Amino acid sequence: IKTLQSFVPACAIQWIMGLDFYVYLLVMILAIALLFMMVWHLIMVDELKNDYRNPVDFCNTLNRLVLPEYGIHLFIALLLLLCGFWITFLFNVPLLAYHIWRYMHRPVMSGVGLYDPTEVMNQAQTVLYTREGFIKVGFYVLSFLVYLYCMMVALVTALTQ
Amino acid sequence: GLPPPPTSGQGLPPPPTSGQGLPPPPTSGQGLPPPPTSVHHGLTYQPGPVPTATTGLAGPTGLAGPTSFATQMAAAPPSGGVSSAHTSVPELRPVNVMEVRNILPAQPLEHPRAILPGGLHDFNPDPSVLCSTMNAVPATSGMLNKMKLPFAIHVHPFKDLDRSACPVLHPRVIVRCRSCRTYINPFVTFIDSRHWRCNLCFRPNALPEDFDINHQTGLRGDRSHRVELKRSSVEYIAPSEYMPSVYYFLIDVSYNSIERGLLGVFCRVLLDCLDKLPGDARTMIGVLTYDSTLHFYNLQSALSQPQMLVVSDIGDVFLPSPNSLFVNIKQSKELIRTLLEDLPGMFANNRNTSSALGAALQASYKLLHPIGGRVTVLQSGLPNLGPGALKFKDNGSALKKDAINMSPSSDFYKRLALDCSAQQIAVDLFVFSGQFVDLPTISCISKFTSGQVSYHPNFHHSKAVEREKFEKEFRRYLTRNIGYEAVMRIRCTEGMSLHTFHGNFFVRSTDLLSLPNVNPDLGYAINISIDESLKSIGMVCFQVALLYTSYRGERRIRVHTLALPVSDQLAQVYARVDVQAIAGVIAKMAVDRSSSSSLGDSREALMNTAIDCTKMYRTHCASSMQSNFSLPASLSLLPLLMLSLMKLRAFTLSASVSTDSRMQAMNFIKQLPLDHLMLYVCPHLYALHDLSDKDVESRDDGMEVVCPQLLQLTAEKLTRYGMYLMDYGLGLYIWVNKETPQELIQFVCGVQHFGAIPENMTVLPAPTNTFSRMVSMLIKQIRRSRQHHMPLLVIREDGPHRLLFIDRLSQDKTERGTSYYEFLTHVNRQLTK
Repeated sequence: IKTLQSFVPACAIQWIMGLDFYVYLLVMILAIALLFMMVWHLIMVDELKNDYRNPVDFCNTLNRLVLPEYGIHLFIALLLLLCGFWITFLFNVPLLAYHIWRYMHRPVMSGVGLYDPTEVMNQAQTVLYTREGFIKVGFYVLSFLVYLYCMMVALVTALTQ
Repeated sequence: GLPPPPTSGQGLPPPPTSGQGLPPPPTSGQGLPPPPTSVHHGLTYQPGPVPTATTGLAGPTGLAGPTSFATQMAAAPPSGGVSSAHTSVPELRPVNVMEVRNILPAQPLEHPRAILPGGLHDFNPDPSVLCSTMNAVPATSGMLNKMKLPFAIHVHPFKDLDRSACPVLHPRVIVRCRSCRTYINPFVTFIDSRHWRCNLCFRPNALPEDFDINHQTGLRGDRSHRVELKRSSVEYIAPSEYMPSVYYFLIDVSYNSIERGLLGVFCRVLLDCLDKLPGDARTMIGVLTYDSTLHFYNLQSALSQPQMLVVSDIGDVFLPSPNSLFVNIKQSKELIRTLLEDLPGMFANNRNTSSALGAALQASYKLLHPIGGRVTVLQSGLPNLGPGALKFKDNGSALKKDAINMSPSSDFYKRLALDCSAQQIAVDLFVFSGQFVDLPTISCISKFTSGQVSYHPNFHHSKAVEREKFEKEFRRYLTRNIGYEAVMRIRCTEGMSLHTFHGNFFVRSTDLLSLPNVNPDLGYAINISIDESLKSIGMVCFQVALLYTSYRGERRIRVHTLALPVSDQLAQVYARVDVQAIAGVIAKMAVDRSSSSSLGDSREALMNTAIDCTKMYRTHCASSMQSNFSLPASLSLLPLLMLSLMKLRAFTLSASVSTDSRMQAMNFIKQLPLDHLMLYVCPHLYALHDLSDKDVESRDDGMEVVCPQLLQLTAEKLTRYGMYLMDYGLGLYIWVNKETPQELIQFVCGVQHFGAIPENMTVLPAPTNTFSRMVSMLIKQIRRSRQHHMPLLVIREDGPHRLLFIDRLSQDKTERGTSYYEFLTHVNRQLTK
């Protein structure tokens, strides 16, 4: 917050004192969006396993979601970094590294995405997707709670100053 | 489950090797050949010494089954049931693999059969059609994991079977379970006279009213006339009018293709077979040639001559004529004949070197998508123009093992294949080029549309051997049985689930495989995982139902059912294991592993399978007095089969294998049905010079059958004076030594002496005396037992083809890998670590 403060005129200091709060609010809302995306992802995998959806539709839908999800998470991480919240940034770094690794090791395809209809129906793969889904849902819930806490702390700090 | 083994005094004669009550045989270094595993019925369980479990560690996991993540195994106590009274079972006879000199049995290995109560195992289908890696199913997944062997089934659903092997039924009502939709089969149980219980989901169902009525006699009575209850392979006809046969041919006419003379050979064979293409009055055919542009042919019957329409915009393909680009054969037969006769002449001077395969495939997709059908592609070069153009890469001979990449470089063909599969279009690929064609990428178009890939790198119209081989293969291809718009559904008893599928198809849902075309020469394998304990279910069943449209437009369902007993004793499971099925499914899993991770990984996994399996056997079943490296007789061939797999072109690290031939070898492994795959891995070798009357047997139907002994696959056992015949599943080789007696050469090859044998002899002269008559009878017999053509090649000891024969002697050290003995030593070292 120190870096940003040096660019802002003094008259807005009163409002900006609560900037922490707004940053965390934004990040928390994005975390909710990510959480919903992961839950939908899990529902789709379940539908695939129970024959309610065929692999081609599954891959088309989920592939469209992958880059937005990674993009939002990257945006959250960069925003936290820029605002100087080191701890919460470091908290997001492992997931960021995992996303990068996953995207680099995706099957050869010309479109965006991670899922290839011909490989998706192996039980080994669906087990992996479910596991990844649950872990990420857990992580996003945890990060949502962390941001909520930080937001409350920022609000209280701003109000008492 | 199975009745508990009787303790003593069964009254059956003891086996010849050990008597009753003797101490366990020491390491069986007595040089006895392991018994053929065809001993199945009439097993006796005799009291024998109790094996004690030795502690061991779970080694690095190989490919065995869904348990590819490391399982933690402490020093496990003997699994439930490794107790008394089972060790003298012939299949469990411990074999010290290192000391047995002649590991290959003298007669071809037969598949072990399951033993079910009440003689139900007699109803099981032919093992070449549907068989399992384990004929006694372990009761829990814990037991399965302990063995480190895969549990899978191999199915060859569309194998050419005559009516006695697979009766065709046309019942009024096809009886199926109302919850899981299983077809009624010989293994169901009847609750009372009106109800039956499904053997896969165990729910009761009602029988149709007239189930008991025998339609011939009109009497009610027993159900024995219902064929569905007596045969596990049946075919139902469901009345309906379905799609006609549609054949579309895409031919590459670029310079490569013309120079090899491909077009001439193709047109000639197709002209010959035009009347024999399977189909009825509605059969349709079309031709498209392409180089850097696409050439369609208007074959409307009203025209006097076929008309060529050229489309040069390959970036955005469109169809120049709304219909009549493919036409009814009967109506336009004259035009088609004229076209096929003129085609070679039209392109005889074509110097265009580009090949727009992707555009041609897109055009055929647009053309056939309302109706479906089969597209045959003859490609002779790298597709280098238009959509799906591929870059030239090094053909891989000089690459290090880490750099060998078997994964596709573009997903254009895969996506097109998925679109084609949705519209019931299958694509078969024939590739004719010795240079780099990027087979891993373009074979995707066939893999996911249930087509087949065939690779002829040395094809040239002047080389008679290659030309004949292709002609005969193509003839079989055009005239064999075919099914359209097919789906295959595999059901299994509750408590098990299908895990991984191997073969050319697209998996549309958890147990539904979409096959736009069914091909009688392709086989499939499916890995099974055990989800719940099967102890309470005495018998598990698998049912493979193939719903297809025959070439006459009838909708038919071919059903195969397999029943296997469940056992909770590890020793019984080991006794009933089918080592050929295991090697087959491990080969397919290794191909998957080499494209998902790397070739080195899959080789390591093959080796680890042999190591882990032996370790697990030693841990759980073997007595402490046996040597380190002993396996039960039922699994004694496993190390040899793993070594032979590692020496195949698909997995060897030898530098002389190009990426394309490696890919084709992997395609074979994935495509071939189990029996042919086993011959490809471990060929049969016969000594022709030893053929005599003792090898001729008379079968029940009066026919004479030649059954010579099989030899070990090593040059040690070959004499310098001998002549040998090798059957490697896709063809036959005859090996002639320099010092083979001249009479043999005269009788068999028809020439005076060794030097006069031509380099590329593929046909033997007519037999003139008893010896050559027996040789030709043996060759005919082998050829008759396969449906596809088996080319013959006579190989001289000093000829250019000798490596073809020598490389297949898998027990020897060649540039493809170590010798069998060295491999065993290496495994033994790993076991004692």
